[in-house]
Amino acid sequence: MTVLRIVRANFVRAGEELVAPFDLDLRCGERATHFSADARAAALTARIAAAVVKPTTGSAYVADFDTRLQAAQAKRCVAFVPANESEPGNFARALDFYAAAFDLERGETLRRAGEVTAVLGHGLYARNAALALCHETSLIVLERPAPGVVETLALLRPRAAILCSHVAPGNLETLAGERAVEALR
Amino acid sequence: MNARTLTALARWHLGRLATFDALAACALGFLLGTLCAWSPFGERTAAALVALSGAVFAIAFASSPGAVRSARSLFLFSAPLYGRELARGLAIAPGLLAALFPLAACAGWSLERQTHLSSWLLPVMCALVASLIALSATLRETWRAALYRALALCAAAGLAALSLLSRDDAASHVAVALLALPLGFFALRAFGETLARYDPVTEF
Repeated sequence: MTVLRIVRANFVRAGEELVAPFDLDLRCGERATHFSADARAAALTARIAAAVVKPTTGSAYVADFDTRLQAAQAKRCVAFVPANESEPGNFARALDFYAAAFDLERGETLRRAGEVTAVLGHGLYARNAALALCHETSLIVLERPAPGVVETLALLRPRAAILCSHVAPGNLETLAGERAVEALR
Repeated sequence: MNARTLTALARWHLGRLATFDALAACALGFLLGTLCAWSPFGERTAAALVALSGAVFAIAFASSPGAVRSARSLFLFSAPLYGRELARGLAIAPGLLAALFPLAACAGWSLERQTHLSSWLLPVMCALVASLIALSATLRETWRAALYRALALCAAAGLAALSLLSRDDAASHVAVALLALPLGFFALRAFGETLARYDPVTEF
């Protein structure tokens, strides 16, 4: 089952093309890394895939939901972990809000968040990951994750597709078992 | 959006807004109410003065760094909610804080002079309307944000002027205060539309 399909999606702001058009297909259980030319493009690519940012042209579908027209439904199927997101404030209150927004029992979200912090620790990225993964999801989008995070989350959520957005290194290297999408800028 | 989500969002948002500012608003509101009570102003003039000052505080609360950071938080935009639902949740905390100033002023006034509660409905409604209009400025930059803040102040000033021009009885006070309802409604709708269209990319 395809959980993420991106068709010629780009992002333009004030006449500047920040993300060049790109395509992506991801099925359940698959992992992919998208390399972008800079941190801004990497962040925007992840946000387009997570239905947080709407593509200027082209389309993005999460579990067949169009992220431009059905963003709320699409977000129910995504766990988005931002890289440099500021602290979401009081963690317990933030978790309460997510539990309510995703119609989950508080205990269940606490258990799921606890699973993540148990393997990733209690740093900012781990807390953001714990918040994002407090609900059952078929797609995990990671914005510039630290080494090892993908493997850890893949063990934790083996059926979910995982998309990483990275800044392209000097020579593009793909990790074993992953599909890489080259920077298109 | 159910009541549980609304409450949870409001609690999260309230925790991010400055508690010190809320206490300062209470203290200053109380002081202004007391000063008005000692002055030769009538209750209607005092209420209009508090309405304008309260609107300034409401705009300051809605434009505070905490409110701006919260409204632009990626955490918020990752939640499966529509713009109008986020708007409702994000309007509660600044609205509550905005109402503190006129309520404290009313308390300060009532310690010294006889109080007609209908007169103090206007400052509360002005603060709420100003807060709702100013919320749209949190997602805008430069002159566009300034324009929304000016609009918020103008709306409050218009309501205060109308209350001074109307008859000095309870029915007129309530009627003028109720004029704030459609203004607040449209301001909340506009904030919801702004949130729905907003792409959180401003940190770049």
